Amino acid sequence: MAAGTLTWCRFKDEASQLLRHSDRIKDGWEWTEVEEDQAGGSFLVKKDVIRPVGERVDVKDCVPLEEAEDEDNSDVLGVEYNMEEADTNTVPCELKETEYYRYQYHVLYSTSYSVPVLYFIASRPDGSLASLDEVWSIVPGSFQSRLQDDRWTFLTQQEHPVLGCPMFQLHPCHTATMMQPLMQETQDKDRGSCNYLVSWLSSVGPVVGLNLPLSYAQIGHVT
Amino acid sequence: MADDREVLRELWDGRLPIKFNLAADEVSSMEHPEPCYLLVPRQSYFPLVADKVQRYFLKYTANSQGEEMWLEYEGQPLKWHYPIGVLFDLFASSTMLPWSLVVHFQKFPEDELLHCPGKDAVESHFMSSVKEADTLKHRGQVINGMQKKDHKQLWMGLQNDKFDQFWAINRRLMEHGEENCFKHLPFRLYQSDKPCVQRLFRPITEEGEQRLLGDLVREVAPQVFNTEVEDASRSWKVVIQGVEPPMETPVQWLSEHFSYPDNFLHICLVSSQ
Repeated sequence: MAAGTLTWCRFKDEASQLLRHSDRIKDGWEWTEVEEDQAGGSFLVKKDVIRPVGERVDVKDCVPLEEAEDEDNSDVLGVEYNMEEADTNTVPCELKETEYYRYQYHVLYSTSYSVPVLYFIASRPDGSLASLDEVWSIVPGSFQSRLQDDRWTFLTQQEHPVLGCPMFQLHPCHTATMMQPLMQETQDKDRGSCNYLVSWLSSVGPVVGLNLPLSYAQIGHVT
Repeated sequence: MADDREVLRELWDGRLPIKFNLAADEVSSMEHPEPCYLLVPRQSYFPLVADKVQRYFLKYTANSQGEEMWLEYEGQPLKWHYPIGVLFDLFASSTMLPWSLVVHFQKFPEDELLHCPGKDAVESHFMSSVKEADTLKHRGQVINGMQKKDHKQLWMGLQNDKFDQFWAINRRLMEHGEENCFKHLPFRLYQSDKPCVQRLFRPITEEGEQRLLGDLVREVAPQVFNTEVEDASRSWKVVIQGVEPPMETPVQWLSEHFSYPDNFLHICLVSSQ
C-alpha cells in the first residue's frame, strides 16, 4: 500500500479492535453493515454525543507534527495532542441547560483514497440539523485561523457515500500525508503493531469535538 | 484520443431548455409571475447558471431572510452538486422539453439536499471530484503535479463555458500513462430511488483485455441483466450524457470521452417505461 494508507481488510480488523475496546469501556461505538461484501460498505458509528452550545473542545499543548506546504497552499495538518480528557466542567454559566447539540459520528473507508474518512452531523434539540457555521463554532480556536483559508475544502457538507444523506466531512485527501510520518515513527521505534484507526481518529477527531479516551492507546500493543 | 475529439466538443455544447416556475404557495405578490426560460449547459451545475432565476423570482416571494433557493422536479428535490445533465437523465429523460422545474425559497429539505453557500462551494466540490478522479486514474500524480493556476483554469473554463481553456488542462488528466489505461475507472452509477454507487473497477482485465460497459453494469448493477427477478417486465436503460452507449463500448474510451468536466463517468440507470 502507498505510504500512509491502509487496506479495507486492515480497516475492518482495526475497527473490530476498536469496537472491542469501546464495549469494554462503554464508549458507544457500533458497526453498521449496509453493503456486506463491498469494500467501504460498512462503517463505524457513534451516536448521541451531547455537547452544550458554546462548549469548545480544549486542546492542550498542540504540537505540530509535520507541516508541509504543497503547491496549492493547503497545509498538511498533523498534530500531536496531549491526551488528557477535555475539561467538561468549564461550561459558561450564562448558558441555558436546554441548549445543546447531539452529534453523530461515522467512520468510513474511502476506496478512492485508501484511508478512513470522518463524517458527522449535529442536531439541535428540536431535531433540526446544525449549519456549517454552528459546527465551526466547536472547532478549537487553535485550528480556526489555520483552517479559515481552507474552510471550503477541509470541512464541508457532503453526501454520506453509503446512506446518501447530507453530513459534514473532514476531507480525506491529505490524510495519507498526515499519517505517513506517524506510521513511519512507529516502525522506526519498533513499537510493534500500531492501530492506524486509533492514531488517525485521535488526531482528527478533536478538531470536530470527538475525543478518544486515553485507554484506546493500549489497543495497538495488545498481541 | 485526438481522433474522437469531436465527441468532446459535442458533449460540451449540449444544452437543455428549462422552464422555471415559482412554487405556487410561495407567491406573495398580487400577480403570479410568468415562468422563466433558460437554455443551460448539461455539463454545468445549477448554482452556476441560476442566478438570473433567483433574482427574477425573489421579488414575487416574501423572502426577507435570504433563504436559499432550491429546485424541485415532480416532488423530487434536485441535488445542486450533480451536473445538470445527470439530473435530467436520471429523473426526466422521458419528459417533454422544455424541462419544467419548480423554484422554492422556503422549507429547505435539510435531510436531502446539501447547502450551497455560494460559487466557492461549487468550485470546491468540483475540484474535489477532479482530485478524487485523478487519484483513481493516476494515484493523484497528475493533479498534484499541476500548479494552482492550472486547477483554476479548469474551473474557470467550466464556469465561463470555454472548451479550449478547459481542455488545455483536462487533456493531461485524460492521458493514459505507461499502462495504456487508467488504474481505476472514476464512475458513479445512479438509480432514482437509491444512493449512488461507486466502486473500484479496472478498465482492463488481468490478461490485458479491454473491459466493456456491459462488464461494468453486470458487476455493479446486475439486476439490469437479471431477467429472473420478479420485476422482469421492468427493463432498464443505461444512459450516459443523454445517450445510451452500446454495451460493447470499452470503459476506457467512455472515461476519456464521456466523462463530465469533473472527470467522472456519471451513469444513470433508468426504467424503460
